[in-house]
Amino acid sequence: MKIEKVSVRNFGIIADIDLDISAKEGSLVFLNGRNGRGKTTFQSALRWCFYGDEPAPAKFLSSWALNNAQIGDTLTTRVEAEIMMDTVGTTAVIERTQLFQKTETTSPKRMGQPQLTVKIRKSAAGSLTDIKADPEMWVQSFFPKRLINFFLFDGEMMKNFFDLKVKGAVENAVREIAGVDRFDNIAQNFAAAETQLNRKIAKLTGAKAEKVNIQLEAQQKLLVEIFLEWKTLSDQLAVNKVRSEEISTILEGLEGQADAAERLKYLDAEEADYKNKLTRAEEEFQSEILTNGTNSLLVGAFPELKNQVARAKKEDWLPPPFEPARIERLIEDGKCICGAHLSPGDDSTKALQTLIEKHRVSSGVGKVLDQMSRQIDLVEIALQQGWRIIQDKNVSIMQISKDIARVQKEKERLLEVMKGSDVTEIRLLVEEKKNLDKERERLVTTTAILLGQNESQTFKVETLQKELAQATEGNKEAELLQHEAKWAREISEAAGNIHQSAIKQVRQRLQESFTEKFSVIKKGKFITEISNDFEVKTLNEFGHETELSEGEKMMKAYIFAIALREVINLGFPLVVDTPFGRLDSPNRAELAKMLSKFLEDEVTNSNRQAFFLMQDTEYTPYTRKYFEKLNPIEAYLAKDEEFENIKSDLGYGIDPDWLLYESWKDWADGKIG
Amino acid sequence: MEDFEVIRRFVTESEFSDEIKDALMQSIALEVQGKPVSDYLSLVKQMAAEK
Repeated sequence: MKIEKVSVRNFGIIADIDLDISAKEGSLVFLNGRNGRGKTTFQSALRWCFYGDEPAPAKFLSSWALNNAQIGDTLTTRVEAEIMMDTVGTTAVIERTQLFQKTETTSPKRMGQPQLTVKIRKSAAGSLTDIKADPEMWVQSFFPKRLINFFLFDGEMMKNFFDLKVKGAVENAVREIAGVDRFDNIAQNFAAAETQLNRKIAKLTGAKAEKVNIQLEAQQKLLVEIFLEWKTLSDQLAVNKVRSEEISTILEGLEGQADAAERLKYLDAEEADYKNKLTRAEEEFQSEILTNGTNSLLVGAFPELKNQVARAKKEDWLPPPFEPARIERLIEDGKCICGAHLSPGDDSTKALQTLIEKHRVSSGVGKVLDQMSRQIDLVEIALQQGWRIIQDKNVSIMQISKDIARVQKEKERLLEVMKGSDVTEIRLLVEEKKNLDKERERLVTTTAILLGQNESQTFKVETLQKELAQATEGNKEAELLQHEAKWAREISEAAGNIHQSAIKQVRQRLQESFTEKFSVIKKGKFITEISNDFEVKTLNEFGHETELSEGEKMMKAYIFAIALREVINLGFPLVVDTPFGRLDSPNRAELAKMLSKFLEDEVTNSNRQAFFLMQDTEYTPYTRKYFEKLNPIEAYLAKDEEFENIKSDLGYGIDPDWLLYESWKDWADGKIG
Repeated sequence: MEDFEVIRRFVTESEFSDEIKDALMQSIALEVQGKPVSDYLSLVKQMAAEK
């Protein structure tokens, strides 16, 4: 299968391009372009065309088209891909369109649903015929959605391909393409045929057989239910395991940053707590300072006041420390507070009357001074207490400030450790992993219980089948039906077994193909082990897992993608955005060397096509020389001079703009061979 | 169809008896065409009659 033409209209930054490589020789296509020129948009356009996956609204309708339209104008986003489907010349033209209308707002109005049309031509000389019945179904049958990751690759992700994607995706791919689920359907259909036969047998041979058959059907149903539940939980367990390992890999890669993220969480809480305490202590401190400050101002006037009070005492013009009204009441009652009897004219009464008189004759200043003298004592006591509180608060503030500084220093240290990482994301990952581990314990226990139930249920079903056979002995018609039922059961079981073994076989073939290809590329004896859950390990001749460079890890992903195509007859092209990822120069050279050798064998000698979308940092004259003998088809996406940020144009060969700078200039000048 | 060929290969390369392989080959055709259970029943009767 080869992509021969791609037309993109009004899609993201690509306003209008027609890539036509139908007349060009070769199965290796390089579509180059600097960042922002539309390589990812091109892949995104293919994704939409084949799978209907829409980009974000802002990246859908081209802003260039929108800017050039009048309000009310209808605009069409269209992607059309012409594909050579096989070696005999069957061609398919897949086109997806979406209409928009320009409105007064900045966002266009979408008009109706996207439309897909598929046209087929059986030979180069034939004419195109519409697949009218169900074009979506047609596209799905050749480009199944579940295999999207084996068609449209993101090079940035390739070195992590085996850590992140392959385990679940490969099993899906194998099931989808190899069609192994068909055996499951066949097994079920024969099981249903057996059930029908058993019913007939039971009817022919009387009540006992019918009763046994009813039990048999009920137990068979229960067996299926147990199996389905076990299967569902096993799938959940597999997904859980993959995700848990994926998170572990990410966290391991972060070298202790997960612990740091956890510690940071507590430090954040600690810092917030200290800051609250500090705020409260400072408020209380301010309040005490204000009160004591006011008191201190008063204290400033105390020496003079104290002199006045002392003078008043000396000159005895301070009022006695009693209330005249209360003393008058004692005289009226004839009894002193000490218990002495008071009579008019006695000495005690006279003394009290003298005090009342003294109070009356005391000057206003004397009374004020008397009150002031008492208040001075109170203020001095309050002032002493206030300063003690202020001192305590000050010590507390200093301590809290020290604690905050300590926490902040530790946070700074941890943030330095985590430089460049998203702390929140790491915390979420740690939390997710905890939950996954907890859930896995539950799933493991439940699946083990279900497996036990499955075994005992199988035994029950087999016993009932024997009972039914015994109940029908002697009835010729029933015996014939028993013979048929036995056949139905045998074929059903065989189909079930093939269903189980098919994935194993594909894994085996994949393992062999992968081992062979990787050993050739690495020039040595390497063994690839693909585990039951499609974990791919590369072992050296001594059976030890080998450390691979970044370039080798990416190469492994490429080999796997191609080996899978070979083993399960997957025909569609390999379209990779940034195929060298962010490899440094030595790793890029190593990968280019391996890849060119690999593609020489795999792409040029097959009908499979590789489509690489590369930027200037990865496609250099030095990279190019590795692929030269494969005669790659080179095209480029370049800025349109007139509309440089919203419209890209297509050309063939190397972008002339690249030839003006650095190594490409040297290449153009013939300095690089 | 491509996947039809792939699944046929699983049958031919299996270790089942020729009768079972034959039945499976015929049932693949039934499955691919989406035939009902009655067709599988007919296939079983035919196989049982032959053996």
